[in-house]
Amino acid sequence: MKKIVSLLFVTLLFSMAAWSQTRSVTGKVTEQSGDPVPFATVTIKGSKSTSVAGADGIFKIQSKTGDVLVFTAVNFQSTEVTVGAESVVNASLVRGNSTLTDVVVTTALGIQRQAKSLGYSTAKVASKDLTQAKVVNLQNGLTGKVSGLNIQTTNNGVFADTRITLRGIRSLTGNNQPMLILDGVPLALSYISSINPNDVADVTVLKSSSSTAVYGPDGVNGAIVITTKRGIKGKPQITFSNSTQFETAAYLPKLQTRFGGGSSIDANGYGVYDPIENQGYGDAFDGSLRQIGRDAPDGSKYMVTYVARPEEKKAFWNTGLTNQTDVSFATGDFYLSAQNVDINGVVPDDENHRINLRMRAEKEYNKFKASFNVNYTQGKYDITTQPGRDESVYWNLVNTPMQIPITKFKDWENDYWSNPNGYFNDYYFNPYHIIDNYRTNGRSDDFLGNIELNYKVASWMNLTYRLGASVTNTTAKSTTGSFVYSQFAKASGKSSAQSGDITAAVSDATAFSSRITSELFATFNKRVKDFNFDLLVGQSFREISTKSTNIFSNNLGQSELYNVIVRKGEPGVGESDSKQRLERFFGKFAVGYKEWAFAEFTGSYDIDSRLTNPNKPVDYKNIAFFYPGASLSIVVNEMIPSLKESKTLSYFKVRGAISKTGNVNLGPYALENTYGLGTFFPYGTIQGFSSSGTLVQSEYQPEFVNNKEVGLELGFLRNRINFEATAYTQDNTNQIIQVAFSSSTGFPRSVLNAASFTNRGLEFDLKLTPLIKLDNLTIDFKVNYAYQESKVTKIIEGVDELGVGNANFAIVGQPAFVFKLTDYLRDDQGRVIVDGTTGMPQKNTNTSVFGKTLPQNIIGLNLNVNWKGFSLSAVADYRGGNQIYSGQLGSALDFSGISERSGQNDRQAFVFPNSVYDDGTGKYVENTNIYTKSYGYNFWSQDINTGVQSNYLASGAFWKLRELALSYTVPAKVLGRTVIGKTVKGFSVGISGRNLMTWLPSSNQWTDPEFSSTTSGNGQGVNDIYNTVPTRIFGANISVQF
Amino acid sequence: MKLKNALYIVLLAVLGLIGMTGCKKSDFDINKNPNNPTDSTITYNLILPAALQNTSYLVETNWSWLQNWLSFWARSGTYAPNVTEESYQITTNFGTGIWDNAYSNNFNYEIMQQKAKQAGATFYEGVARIMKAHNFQILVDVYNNVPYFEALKGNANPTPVYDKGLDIYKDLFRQIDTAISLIQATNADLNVDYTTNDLVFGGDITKWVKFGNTLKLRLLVHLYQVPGFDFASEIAKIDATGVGYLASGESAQINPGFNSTKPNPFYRTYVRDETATATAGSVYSKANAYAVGYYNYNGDVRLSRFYTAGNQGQRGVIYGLPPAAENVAATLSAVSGPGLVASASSSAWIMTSVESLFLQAEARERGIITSGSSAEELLTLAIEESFIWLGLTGADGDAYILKNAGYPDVDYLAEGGGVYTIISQKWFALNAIAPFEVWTDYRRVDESATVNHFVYGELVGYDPGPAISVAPQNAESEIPVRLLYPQNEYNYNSPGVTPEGTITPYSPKIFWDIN
Repeated sequence: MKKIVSLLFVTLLFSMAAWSQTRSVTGKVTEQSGDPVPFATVTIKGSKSTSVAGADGIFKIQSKTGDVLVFTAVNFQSTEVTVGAESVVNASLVRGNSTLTDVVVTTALGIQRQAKSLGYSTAKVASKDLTQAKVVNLQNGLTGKVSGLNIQTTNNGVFADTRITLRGIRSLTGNNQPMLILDGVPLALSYISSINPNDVADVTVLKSSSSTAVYGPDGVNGAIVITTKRGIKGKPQITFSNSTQFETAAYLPKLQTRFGGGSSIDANGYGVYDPIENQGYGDAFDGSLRQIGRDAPDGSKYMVTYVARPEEKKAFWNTGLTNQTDVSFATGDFYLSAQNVDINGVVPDDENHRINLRMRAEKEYNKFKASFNVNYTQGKYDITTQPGRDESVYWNLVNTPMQIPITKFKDWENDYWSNPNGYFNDYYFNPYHIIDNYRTNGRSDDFLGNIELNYKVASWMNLTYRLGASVTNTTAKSTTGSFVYSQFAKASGKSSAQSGDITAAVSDATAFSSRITSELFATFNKRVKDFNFDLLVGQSFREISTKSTNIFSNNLGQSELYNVIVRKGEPGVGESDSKQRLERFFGKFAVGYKEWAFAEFTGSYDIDSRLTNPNKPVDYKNIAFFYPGASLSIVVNEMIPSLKESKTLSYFKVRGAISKTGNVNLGPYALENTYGLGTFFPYGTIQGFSSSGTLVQSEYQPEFVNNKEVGLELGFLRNRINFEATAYTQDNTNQIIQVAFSSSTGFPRSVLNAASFTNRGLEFDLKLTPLIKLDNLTIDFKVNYAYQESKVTKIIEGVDELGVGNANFAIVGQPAFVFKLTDYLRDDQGRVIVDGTTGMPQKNTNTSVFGKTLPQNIIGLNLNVNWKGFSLSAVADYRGGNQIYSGQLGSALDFSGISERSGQNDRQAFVFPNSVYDDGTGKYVENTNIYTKSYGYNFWSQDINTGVQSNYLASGAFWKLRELALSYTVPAKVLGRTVIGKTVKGFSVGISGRNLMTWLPSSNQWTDPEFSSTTSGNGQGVNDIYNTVPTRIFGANISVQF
Repeated sequence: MKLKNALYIVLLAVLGLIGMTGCKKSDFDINKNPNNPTDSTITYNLILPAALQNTSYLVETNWSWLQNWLSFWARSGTYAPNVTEESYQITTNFGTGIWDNAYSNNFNYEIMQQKAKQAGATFYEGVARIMKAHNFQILVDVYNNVPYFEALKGNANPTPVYDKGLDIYKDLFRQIDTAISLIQATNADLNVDYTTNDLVFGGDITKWVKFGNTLKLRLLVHLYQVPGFDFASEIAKIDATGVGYLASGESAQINPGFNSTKPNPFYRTYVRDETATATAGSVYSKANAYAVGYYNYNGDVRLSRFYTAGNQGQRGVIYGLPPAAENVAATLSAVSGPGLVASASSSAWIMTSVESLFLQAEARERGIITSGSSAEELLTLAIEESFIWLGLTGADGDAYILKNAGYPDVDYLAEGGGVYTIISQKWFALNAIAPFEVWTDYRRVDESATVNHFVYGELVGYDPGPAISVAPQNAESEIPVRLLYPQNEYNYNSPGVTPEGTITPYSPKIFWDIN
């Protein structure tokens, strides 16, 4: 803290220093509300003399009395003011038509820039577009709206986890998600779920490291820059809004509806019914009355009609309910908001709650400006834990044959047939019992505070200091209830009762993390004739500290008190601390020529504690590194006089950027081999440690990302049609990767500085604003398209393949990543080779390479229709060119015999499709008449089917109707005439839906192609049994302004 | 003020500010691991207990495939077949746990050895050398040529060359010799906590020397057909130590304080884990019908010490049989008999006194050992020790021998007895305990076994059923004689493994497999 105090002192000293000014006309350009209009252009009518106002609206221009100053700015009507005798001329602008030339975007460090001066690609999404479908999490509202931005909802449920990438990936095994900047403060991306979307004024997406150069390694994957709402000059405004949304299971995997429970075939090849089976390989449904499960102790039986009940599989899932309530108060330089969100998920009993409070205030004292922002978010959740496959909800639902009316078994505490003792299934469990028995209760408290001090040293110099702290505390308590099977159940031979007694368990974890960032930078601006020079120099410091502790016991016996204090044996304990520091010095020098040429050069010098060798004195040679960047923007229509007045071509900009960024893809303490506690150690006083098995090096180089991009921006017909195109390549070198290693070195794994790959892509944005405009009707339409590809160029010497988890592989010459899965043995034409006698295919023991795991094409369509007070908006998006692997779910469904696949060919012998056999001479002949020896249960539930991973590979393509919203805002005129008109200033109601429709290719028989078993991992395209069902969300909302 | 002056002031001020908020060099010296010991902070005495426990895991829990191949165990009808294993069509991804665990374990001993050497802790250094020899012997017996002289060096040698199995064996004798003299020179002051941290013999120097000698005897017995090996001089060195081999009741085994929440490795894998939950291994691995039938046929009471009866009494399943309801796990005998693990707190064996006596018997029979008790006497002791080790009595063993008089699989003096009896009895005695040694016997012992009963010959009047997998996919008539090198070796140590050429489950054989 000492440093901060001394800084404040120095800043105050500055404010006392008097500064002489040159004689000229100065003034401030403001909105009617009094807010400054940044970057307004000031020209003297009839002359070439031009000046541009700063971000604070203040301008300066040499002029004489009688000159007419013309003020123009984006979204405002141009205004003329005549210069009188005074030296201060203020201008007030009225909102009106826009010209693209003057669009302002919030770039790195929270600095506002004219869009035309940027040599790299950015995109801005307005608050209204973000929240039109009443998303709980901001990131869900960005989906489909920005080209190159891929937001993948990896799972439904109460958290709606997302994975966010911009322009594909830049690291094979490290982080690929962009950074988050909230009101100028860099934060961990995970914080995005703690933000109240209704607090957001706008989001700017900085798509590459060229635009985030001043953030260095944090910005290597681009950035999501969020600007929150601030007070509005004028009367205080109070807004109240509420939205209620329902979430329902949208669709299930494709299921068979012909056969019931069983797991064998009779002499004639037909399935045999078995009342206690988890598998569905019984005989065909016939509507007869059949027993399910075993007899009760009193001899009673549970009878059902033998028919398929596919609707039960859907009815199992809850109707989720999400309720959001918002209140905000805004006035002058003050903004206060509160939000409450309650979510009940589709998984029965899953809940999540979030409370968010935010206050923002700012004050100006002459040249000194201070603002602060505090945000507190509390999250509380109570969910099913699903500790393993057999305790997962979906797995147990899947292992329920089609005749079972599963929703009848909710009350396991009181109903014998629902209780584990009496539940029909001999091998697996009642999912309702699973849900109640394995729970996690968690809470998180996020506190974010930042202070910004700004001192305008001179009209050409500005000093900014910004201190931000984000502190998160989380706790999570997981519990397992005990269950002891009755002696009757054990004696009956019920399989799950044999070893299935459940011991109570508890795990309690707490984690603390803090991220403190400080940024100090000075900006200088100087205009010399037609040249405008901008210089920025700065220093930043970031410290991330974490601490986590956990305590657990897997053996509480039959206790119902979930506390380690009642454990048997020793408790398990864990502790982990970490700290890392990054100091950066950065500079940026920008030159603008007239209003059409802009060049920018950046340089960064980073010092990173993660590169410090713990056993040697700190040496800057090893821990510090430098990298440069440059960009250029040319506004052609301003450059060529003949184009200036063109009505057709209203905007024509070309741009290019090149940058290099260093990234330390290592955690702290990654430079020395470690030893972990041996299994069960300590035994009393005997300690024991073993090598972790991961070989690290004492020195690493940062990974370098070399980003190159060129772009074109066009506006036609007064920017009614806007078109933007960008092409980029990213060379990613010296990647730090963990590879499997020869264990004979002593280490099964090794972390090396070696791999390289390139990442390339194209992005197109077309905006038709408006597409149609009639009296009261406006229709806007926007399309964005991104194409993305990559190629691995090197792994390490002698090795051309690297598994990154989830069957995702980086293979030299192939895209990052491709699937490697087991397949059938095939001939060179790809036909399956079957045995000439048995007709059976064979599993190829080696894995084969399949397609890409990351999408290649992403399309977003945005439609807005406004008619009087009505507004209709729709977002649809497409992703494709990749494959998804549903191995866990697909093989589980086949194993359990409820999938459509498992019901093929009436479960009788069949000719394996597209197959050949060896005619005895080594030649492969097409198979048309050799039927499989095994079929039904003996084929579909067996390794020859479920063990062939390629059976569960499908196209990852989809179209989704992501958002559809209709709202009605009562016009002010109408409202004014009503009784409440005096107090109520605005009133709107709406209905909205998300993911209402999904279109999938027929190869995907299983689930939502966005689902993934990991959010942070790089191995994508693989879903698992812990994902919920695909859902659709719809609801209504109301908003009142006072 | 002039603009130029103003610029200077401002620039200086900015630099001053940065200076004030900027970091010192020492601010970056925060990369020392606060969570775990590292190479620079670990000490030898912290490594030994965990390393010894890991050796017991290596010995007891990596071999279910081999227990199956050797007809001790089989997959229960509750589980889907493991076609790779049951058709012997093994791949480079099969059984890699042996390789990885043995090298990992040895790396820990290697680090301990280096740290102990620096500290003059000769006891720890000696134990490290013996234990490494123990693990390398297993590696050679499974893979033949493996990285040895260049192995375990981390970044200093990321692609170690493969050394000849025989060269490794020869060096293991030297390592054990060095180890014995180091251990004999133990200075209690320089060996921190050695009596408590030595989980095997509690710092008993004599027993470590005996263990070293017994390990050498194991190597010698493996080598007996290898031409040109000087057995006499090795035996002379062993005799010179004056303590002989592990005797009755002197098994190398550990027990750091196992209990139901920290169970013995075998118990934790094949019975119940630390949460008292029945493990997958306890359901998957069940008694093999061949072994159950054979023990029964001989009236061998050890049957119910090796196996625990299922709900249909002592019953095994035929290896490779497709899953069937009549063979579900609950109907079959469990592989975790009370003789092996009475409870979660039983000691975990590394090398048993039983094996020591069998090794002595065979060595005497083959003339490697040339003095002392006769082979027959040693064999009788070995059989008695097997019964005792399993919780029965020596008298039970004598009764068993008597009952089977005239049958060469039990009776040393019966027609066809002798070596055959020793090897057969080793199979009966080391069920689940040392499958790799039984496999080695199968491979190295010259025999004219029939397909059905591999080394154990045709039995008169009793057919114990197939010893070879009956899996429909199985086209082989013999079990593999080695494993393939792990795929990671081809990926990451191609200079080392490539010269080894084509490897199949049947060739090249282990260097001592000469018949």
